[in-house]
Amino acid sequence: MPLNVELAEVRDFLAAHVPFDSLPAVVLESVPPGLSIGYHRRGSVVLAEGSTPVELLVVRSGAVDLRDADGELVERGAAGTCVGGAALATGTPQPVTVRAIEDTLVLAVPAELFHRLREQHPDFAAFFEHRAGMLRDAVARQREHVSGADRSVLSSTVGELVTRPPVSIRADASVLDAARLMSAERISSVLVTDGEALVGIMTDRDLRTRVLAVAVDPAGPVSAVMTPDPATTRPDAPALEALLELVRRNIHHLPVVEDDRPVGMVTATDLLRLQQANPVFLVGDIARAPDVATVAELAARLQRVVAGLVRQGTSAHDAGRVVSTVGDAIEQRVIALAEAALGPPPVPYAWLTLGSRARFEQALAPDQDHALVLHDDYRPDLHAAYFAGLAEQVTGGLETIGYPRCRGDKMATNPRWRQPLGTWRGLVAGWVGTPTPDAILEASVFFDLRHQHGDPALTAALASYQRRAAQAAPIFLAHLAAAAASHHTPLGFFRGLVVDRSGEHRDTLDVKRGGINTIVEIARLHGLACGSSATSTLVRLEDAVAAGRVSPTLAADLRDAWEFLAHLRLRHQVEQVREGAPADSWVDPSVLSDFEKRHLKAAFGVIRSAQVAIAQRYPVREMT
Amino acid sequence: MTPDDRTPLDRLPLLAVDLETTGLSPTRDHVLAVGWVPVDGARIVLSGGRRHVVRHGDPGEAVAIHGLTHDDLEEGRPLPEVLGELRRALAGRVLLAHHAPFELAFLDAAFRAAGETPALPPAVCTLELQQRLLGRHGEIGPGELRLWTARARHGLPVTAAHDALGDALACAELYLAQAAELGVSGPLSLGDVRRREPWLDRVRAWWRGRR
Repeated sequence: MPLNVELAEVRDFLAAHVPFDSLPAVVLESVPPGLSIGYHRRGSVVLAEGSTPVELLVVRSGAVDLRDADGELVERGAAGTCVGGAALATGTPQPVTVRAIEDTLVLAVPAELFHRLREQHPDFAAFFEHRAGMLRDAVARQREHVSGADRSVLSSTVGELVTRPPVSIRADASVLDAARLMSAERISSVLVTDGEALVGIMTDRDLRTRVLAVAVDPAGPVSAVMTPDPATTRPDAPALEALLELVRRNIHHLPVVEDDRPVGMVTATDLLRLQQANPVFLVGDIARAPDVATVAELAARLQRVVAGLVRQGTSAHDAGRVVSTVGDAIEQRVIALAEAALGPPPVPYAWLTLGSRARFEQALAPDQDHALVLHDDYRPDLHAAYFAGLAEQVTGGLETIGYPRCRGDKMATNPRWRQPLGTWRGLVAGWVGTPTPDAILEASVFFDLRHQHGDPALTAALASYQRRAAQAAPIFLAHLAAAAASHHTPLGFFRGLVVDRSGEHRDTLDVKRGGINTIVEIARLHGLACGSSATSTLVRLEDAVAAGRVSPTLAADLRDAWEFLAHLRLRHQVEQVREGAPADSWVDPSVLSDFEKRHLKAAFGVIRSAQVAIAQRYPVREMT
Repeated sequence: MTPDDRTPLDRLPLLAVDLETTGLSPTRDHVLAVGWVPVDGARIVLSGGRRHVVRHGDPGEAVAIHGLTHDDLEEGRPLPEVLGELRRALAGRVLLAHHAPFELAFLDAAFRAAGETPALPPAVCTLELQQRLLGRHGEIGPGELRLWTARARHGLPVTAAHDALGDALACAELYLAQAAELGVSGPLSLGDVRRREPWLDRVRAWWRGRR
């Protein structure tokens, strides 16, 4: 019997919300007649902490707050929010109090029906289980979601690569004429025709091997030395097919023929240009760039490279490495160009990269973070001008290329960030020994450092000093812990807005400050505490697990949360770049799918548990 | 057994009923469809929700309003059968409707036409309750007593499709909201919310009973 219209509406409501959306249509149809409807006035308790739920409640209209025993807001939910499900599933007391914050209508799913749905439908059941690693699948799906959307390289055709009409010569022309024509046209091969038909091809290699090496008379006809009946391709052939043809035959030129007439030529170079979106080529090109302007031109390609990587389903971790590697190439090239202009340094120095790029986690909206470590032979009166000039030239160059100056002035242009090794040691000792809020802030930038250029021994000396100093300073670590634990991580979403613990609503989600940075700080704390020399967040977490400081489960969850958040930011930035907007980390919650919101909530939950673990380990409360 | 006036609202069994008719006159117009859903105390029980289309030869123009097709009406069930089911569903329950006099008058006429003694149960009218709630805040504006306006005032969802069951359910949800609001000052019983028949209606009923 078909459902009555109004019950169909209850069904449609359920179908629009997790986890009911995972139920097959025929099952969903059978649910509404098993339900009842209740009503709760604003302010009244819907489900009390400690009670034993006998049904799953689904908010049909209105809104509820979930608060723990301390009265802390744990979740705020509008229509579609399920309450009591986890306790009902495990047969345990309700962990949080659910209170209506607006007049609220609820659909009640009786225990028996709830359990039957769980038994028969694993996706439905999984929603009520907070299993470890629940973000793992989400991370995989997040990448799947975008892969296959674009195959720019693979979808190109040969016709799209042809840039000019073919240059051809008659078969009875002399070899000399052909060579002159190639020279004048600056081409490495010429088509040989008889009337309109293609009869052969002559290349630079043919001139070398079939003319010069064997002393053939250049006055003789081209037809005697050309490759007759060459392999050809069609304008509508996939570029990849043409590329494979070249590789298979070990040749570099492929005439493009349409209706028996040559219409163009594709070369190995043309096909490689397709690979322009390949970061390996980009890094190579940057390293050879003759000036800053050329570096800037090449750097402009980075965004396209990243967009391509994202579309191909690359993880945020890998994309971060690519962006960082290209960033390194740019910085190194700009430093080398500056050194070439200013002459060799008067004393050895090391150029350090700080912050996200030092962690190999750079995103698409980077600024500059760097510092200079000078050899202890440095004499300000003699050498200050050189290094100030170098710093200014490199920083200015990077700015031209598109890396804005650091707003916090954590750059080599700042004399404070351009010090001899001995002075750096003193600074580090100061931060670690007297951890004021400013010291913590500066240290958190400076403890993520990587050698970029110059004398690696200076970098290594400073890094190892830092590592030992931090590990031996429990008070410093406790302050890092306090900072990491005090960040407000959002709880989730409420009617398209971001909600945090204070119950405040915001209309944008700052993925960087609200999530990624907190994970970075947590990993830095644990990494420094166990003496890890790594800068990357994920490696620091691994080291912390090996040292027994963080449980493998929490570390795995943090890694997944980081990847999920970073990937979300990356896609957001790629989208911004596509629309011609400057990239940032501010995501409008209204563009997030339910899937993303649900897993963001889970990622925030992971961060909060890591914060709680830190707060338990360090006397955080007394310090904030 | 029909609940008496002392029955507390949190244990009161009701049946929200909605009729779709060809017009407004219980004597001239006909019932096209009947929808109902039970309310047990403060819970609407969806398993008891029903909607019956009444078989009809010539429904006239009202059909378009209710979204019923002629095919629906031809496949409908005879009115006496539908009335029989309604009577069983109503057993031991209070009738709940938005503007209950309308439902009561049509049912009274329909039962009589079928040759049955109506003996309709006590009724709770959500329109009347809304009037009472709004009256507390002064003058009642035009249209404020309509079912969907009243629901909106209680923050209840606006739904698109309105059929006899949909309206019965909409009325039942409104009742839960009203009962919760009225109950803020203390527990209520049926006597506090039951519709009081105006004396003229009572005389008419007595007169009809004598005929």
